[in-house]
Amino acid sequence: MKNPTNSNTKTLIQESIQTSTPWMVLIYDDPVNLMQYVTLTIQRVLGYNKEKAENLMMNVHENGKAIVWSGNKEKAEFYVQQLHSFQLKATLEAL
Amino acid sequence: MRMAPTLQGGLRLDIESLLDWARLEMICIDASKINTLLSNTLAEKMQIEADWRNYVMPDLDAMFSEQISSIYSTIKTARSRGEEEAELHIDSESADTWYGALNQARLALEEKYGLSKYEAEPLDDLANLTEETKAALMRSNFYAILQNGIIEHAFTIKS
Repeated sequence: MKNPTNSNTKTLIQESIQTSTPWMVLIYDDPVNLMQYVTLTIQRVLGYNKEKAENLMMNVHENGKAIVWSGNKEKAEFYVQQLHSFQLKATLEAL
Repeated sequence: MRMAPTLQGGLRLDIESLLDWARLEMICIDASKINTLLSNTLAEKMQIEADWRNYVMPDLDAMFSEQISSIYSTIKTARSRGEEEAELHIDSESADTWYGALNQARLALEEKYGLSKYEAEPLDDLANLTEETKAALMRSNFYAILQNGIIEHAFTIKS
C-alpha cells in the first residue's frame, strides 16, 4: 500500500499581482453651472465632504478642469455617467 | 411672482399674473431649443466609445427630455387650477427635475446668445444690446435665481 504522505509530488505556488491602468475622472469648467451646484454635485456623486468638494470646485473654476477621482475604469465610467446626468462636463482618461 | 421656502423643505412659487405664467412656460420653450444633443456637449472632451454612444448617451438624452416635459406638465396642471393666482411647489422630489430643465434653458440661451460674456458688464453697457438679447439675459438671470432657490431650499444630499 502506498503511503500518501510519502509522495514525490511537489506543489508550486505562484503568486502574481495584476495591476490595471488607473483612470481619472475630470470635471471641466463651463459658463452655465452654478458654483454651489458643482460643489453639491461632487458631494452627491463622489460622496466627498463639503470642504473637499468646494476645493475641487474652485480648482475647476480657476484652472478650467480638475481631477476629482482616480481608480478603476468601470467605476470611473459610472462616475462620469452620473456627473453627465447632473449636466456637468466630465470625462475619464487613463493616467 | 414671489418665491419662498416651505417648512417641508422646498420652494413655493406664488404666481400673480399671466406674465408670470409666460415666464415659467418660457423655461420649457428655451430648454427645448438646444441645438446640439446635451449628452454630446457633456462628452465633448471625451473619446467616446461605441458602448457609451449606443447605451449611455440615449439614456441621458431621454432623461433630459423627460425633465422638460415633466415641468411643462406641472406648469400646465397648476395653470389649469387658476390663471391669476396660483401656487407651484418645488419639493425635494422634483428639485432635480426643475433644476435640470432650468439648466437646459440656460444652456440653450448661452449657446444662442453667449450671455456669459455680459455677466461682468455694468448695466449701462448692456444698453447697447438688442431687445432680443436683453430679454434672453433677463430670462437667464431669472432661471439662475430659481436655480439658487432650489439649491438653497429644495436640494438634499443623497449619496
